[in-house]
Order: sequence, then C-alpha cells, then structure tokens
Amino acid sequence: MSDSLFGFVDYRNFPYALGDTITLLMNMEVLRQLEGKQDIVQLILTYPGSPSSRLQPFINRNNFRNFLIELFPAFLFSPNTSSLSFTESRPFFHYRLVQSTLRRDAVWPGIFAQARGSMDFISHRRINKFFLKNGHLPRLDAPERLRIRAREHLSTLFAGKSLVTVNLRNSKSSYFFSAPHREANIPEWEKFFRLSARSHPDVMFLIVGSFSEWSRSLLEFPNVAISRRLGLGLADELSLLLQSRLFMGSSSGFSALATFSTVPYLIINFEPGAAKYVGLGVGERRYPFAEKNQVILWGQEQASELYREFCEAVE
Amino acid sequence: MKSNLSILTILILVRLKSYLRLAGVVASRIAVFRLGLFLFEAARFRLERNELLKRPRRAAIRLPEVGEQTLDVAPVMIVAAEMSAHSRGVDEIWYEIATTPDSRTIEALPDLFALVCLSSMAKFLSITLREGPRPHFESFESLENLFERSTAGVSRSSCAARLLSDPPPHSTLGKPFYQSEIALNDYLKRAANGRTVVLVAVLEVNFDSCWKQILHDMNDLFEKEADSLFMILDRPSIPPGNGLPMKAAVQTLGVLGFSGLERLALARNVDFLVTDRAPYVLSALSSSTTILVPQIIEARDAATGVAQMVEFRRRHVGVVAT
Repeated sequence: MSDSLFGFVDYRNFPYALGDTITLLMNMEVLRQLEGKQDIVQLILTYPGSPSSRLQPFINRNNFRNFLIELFPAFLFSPNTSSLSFTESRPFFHYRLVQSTLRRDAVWPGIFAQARGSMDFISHRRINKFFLKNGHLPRLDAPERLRIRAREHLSTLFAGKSLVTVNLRNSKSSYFFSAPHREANIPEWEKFFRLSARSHPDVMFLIVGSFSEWSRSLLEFPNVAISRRLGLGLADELSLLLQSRLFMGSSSGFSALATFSTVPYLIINFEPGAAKYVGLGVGERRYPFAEKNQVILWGQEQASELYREFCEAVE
Repeated sequence: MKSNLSILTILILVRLKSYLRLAGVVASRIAVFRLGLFLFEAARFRLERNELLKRPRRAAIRLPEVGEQTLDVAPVMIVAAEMSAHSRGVDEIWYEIATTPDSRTIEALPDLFALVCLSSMAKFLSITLREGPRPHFESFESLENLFERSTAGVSRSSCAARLLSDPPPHSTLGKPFYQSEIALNDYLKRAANGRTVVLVAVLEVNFDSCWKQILHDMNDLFEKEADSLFMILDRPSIPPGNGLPMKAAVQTLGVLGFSGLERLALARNVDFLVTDRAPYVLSALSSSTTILVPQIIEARDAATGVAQMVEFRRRHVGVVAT
C-alpha cells in the first residue's frame, strides 16, 4: 500500500471549469487528511475520442486542449500534490486505476464509482463534514515560486496600492454564453468603482478572468486594472488573489479559490440553486467554515450594497 | 368516475415502477459493461507492456529544469525528440518534467504544458512537483530514452541552428487548436487591412539596446514601406512601445492579452516572423510564414540585422538565419 492518495480524474465525467477544479482539489486535500496519506498523486485523462462530459457538448476533439491549457495552472494550487500526470491513453488510465485498486491504495474516485459514473467531485459535503468534525480545513495555496512572483507584481505593478481582486462573470462576451442569471451587473459595478475612487484612492481593483470577459467600459476607471492587459495569466491571477487585501466577485471560478483560502472576500449573487450542494441555507451569509470577514451576498448586486459591504470589509 | 381515476393512477404508478426498475437494470448493466471495459483495457495494456502483445513503441524524454532560456530549449527538444523518434520508428513519446515549488520551472509550466499538448506524438506528461522519490505512474526507465546524453549542454542557439539547417520533415507542434486560430485570423485580417504583417517576438533577457535599435530602425523602415504592419509581442515587464516613438502601423500586442498558445498561433498566421525565440520558430515551421532569425545576439549589430531583413524581404526565401 502506498503513502499517497491517488486521484483519477476522467474528463468524460468532469467539467472543464475553474470552480469545479478548485473544489476537486479541495476534496482531494480533505481526503488525504482523512486517509492519513502524505501526498496526492493525480492522473488526469483527456481521451480525444470523447474528451468532455454531456454537460459541455461544445468541447470536442478539436478544442479540448485549449480548455485544458487554460485550466492547467489551477492544478498547481494543491500544496500536497506531489505528482501530476496527464494522459490521452485510455488503456493506461484504466491500467493504473485497476492496479491501484488491486494494491489497495487509497484511490479516489474508486473504480466502482468510476464505472457507475456517480462521482461527487464538486459538492462541499465531504468538506463540511471534515470541518464539523475537526474544526479546521486544509487550505489551497500557490507554490512558493508563484508566491514570490506575486509579491514582485505587488511591489512593481501595484506599488503603494492596496490590492482588491475582482472577478466579474461576463460570459455573454465570451464564446460560450451560459447561466445568464449568474452574470455580473456591470453598470452597478461601474457606479461602485466611481464611489470607491473618491473614498478609497489607495485601493486598486484588479479585474481577473479571461480576456474576452472584462468589460471595455472599465478602461476609463483609474482605480481599475485589467490583469490580462498586463500580460498576467491564470497562475498569476490566482496567486495575486491569495495575496490581495480582499476578493470581490461573482459566484464563479475565482470565488471558489477565495472560499478555500483565508483571504477576506465578498462573493456576490450566489446562486440559490447551488446552495444545497455546498451545505448552505438560501440567504446565509457565511459558509460553515468561513472566517469572520468572508461573506456571501445573495441576489443581483447593487452599487450601494457593494459599497457598504466593501467599506465594512476594508475598514 | 372517481374509481376510474384511482385505477388509472395505480396503472401509471405500476408502469412508472417498471420503467424505473428497467432504468436501474440498464444503469447497472452499463456500470458492469464499463467495469469490464476497464479490466479489459488494463489487461491489454499490461500484456503490451510485458511485450506479450504488439504494442506501440514508446520513448521517454525528460525536459530540463527551467533556467532563463529553458522555455526556448524545451520546445526545440520536443521537436528534436520527435525527429529522432520518427527515424527510430517510435510511435509515442512520454514526457516528464521534474521540479520543486520554489523553482522557476513552476512559472514556465503553463507554457511547457501547452507546448507538450501541441506535440503530435505526446501521449503522456508527468510533472513531479517535489524533491525526493518520485511517485511515478510509470517507470520511465522502462522506456527508451531519446536523449542519451545530458541535456545540460543543449543551448538555444545550437538547437535553433540545428533546426534551421535541418527542419523537421513533418508538422510538429501541429495538433489543432482551431478556435484560437479562427479568432486570430479574423483579428489579423482586420488589423492588417491588406498589408503585409511582420511579427516580432524577442526574448525578454535579450531585449537590450541592440533590439531597441532594431525596433527603432524597423520603425523608420515602416515609414518608407507603407505596405507593412509590424506587430511586436511584448512581455509583461516590457512596457508597451518600449519608449520608442511608435508609428501607427506598429502594434504592441502585449496589451491585447494573447495567451501563450495564441501567440504561438499568431506566429504561424502572419506573413513574416522575426524572432530569436525557438517556440515561435517551431510553431511557424508548419505554416507558410517566412521566418527570419537574426543572429544579432552574437553580432551586436542592429544595422546589419535590419539591412539583412530588408534584403530578406526582397528575396522572399524560406527559413533563413542571418
């Protein structure tokens, strides 16, 4: 039996999505502690013949690598992952799955769950249970080198500023428009940035997220910077998020990392339909494991509410 | 009437129950089928591995730890490995990168990952993120190592020289990424507006006064040749324009947020590529882009570099090293 937890991720059953990837890593970190293992070894299958699940029919053999390449940096944020392997060979993936099962290694998801296609990658069920029992959670973090680079960016690109990272879901301007009810209300955010510029001139808001999603109207705000225009990628954005004074943003991929960190956050417009998967009652302001300055807001954002919550969070 | 409704309800419930039972049977049969498939494929892989069945010939390559220029060396190694693999009848290459959380390799991993994804023979990539014993999924020792000697001596210029003198016969780094390319072509068409597009990609550590002079001279060149558009790929630490008096037809692309992959795609969709960076050379090799690799790093002679480029443009030859 090995000292490692073996994670087998088959993209035929798993979405290409940042939030789900972060939750997957968090589930693995929790399982590692539960199983008393030293590290996590991940094997990830992207089989070109069937590279995505039924939930993402627009991802096919011609474009799945784009999605994987975009997501890749997120896998580096699991501090106990010692080995990360990607394969396009289905026989090899199954060979290792069967071999690890026969060796009685700690395997997740197990072979029978993989066969049934019933894997709980993305709920908070296991995470909440672990917290209730132990009173703490393992945390996701950037590798040392990315932390150093984020500090360099803070002292050069944002010198003298207090950094607030912001993610505004705006998928209508991307290739794959989905879940319109989760989109950010950009005009309200613009009002908020205007208000904050007057009252908090020392704060710089850094908009993180894919290049196609940031609203071009934000260019006129001197207190707003766009990370992708600065040449920063996902690895830098996630590292900066973990070192920022506050994270604000839509309930989407970046908010998942904030959720499992100690960074103060305001997660906006939380989806009531998702509440049951994360063990929250609709309207509750905090996750069971959240710290005092980690807050969830429900309903479409309003500038006045954003401003009030922001002032409370930074003062 | 009421009793009829009750009977109907009972009939529907009975039918529903049988449907649910049927769905359960189908689901469990699918699960059994999948389990059988896992076991069959695992057994076949095992037999192949033990050479009891004919198997694809696999070879391994370990990519080096990243120094300042490894991002340029690694893709050259990938192509060199593929060329070598072709000549030896190898079907698949399994890649490995070993690093630690405090290594500069971590910064380069997203780009390295993208490059391996594009390699036409890559079937497996293992990234070890810690020192100490490697919890491998596969023993790389059992695979033929394509590089017998240490890779420490592989320099960017030697690899580039080798590639330019002996370009790979097949399309390497050629896996499709259509989505990016369609969008980029659309962008390029609008930006170029019928003009010849010259892409300039300079390695940051080489971006010294010599390159600045080259860009400056190119800027002047543009004034004389109004049919061209120069696109300059800036890196984050180089401010847009580099303090040069940029003319309207010189675009710095750093501010447009292109990803590493899109930059590679750009290199194979422009008319000319001027670069000292191997990834761009490699990407463009499988396209109709004409490539210029000025060896100004050694020569330190900007004027010669630009003069040669002008000469080169006039001749319209293939891949050249000036």
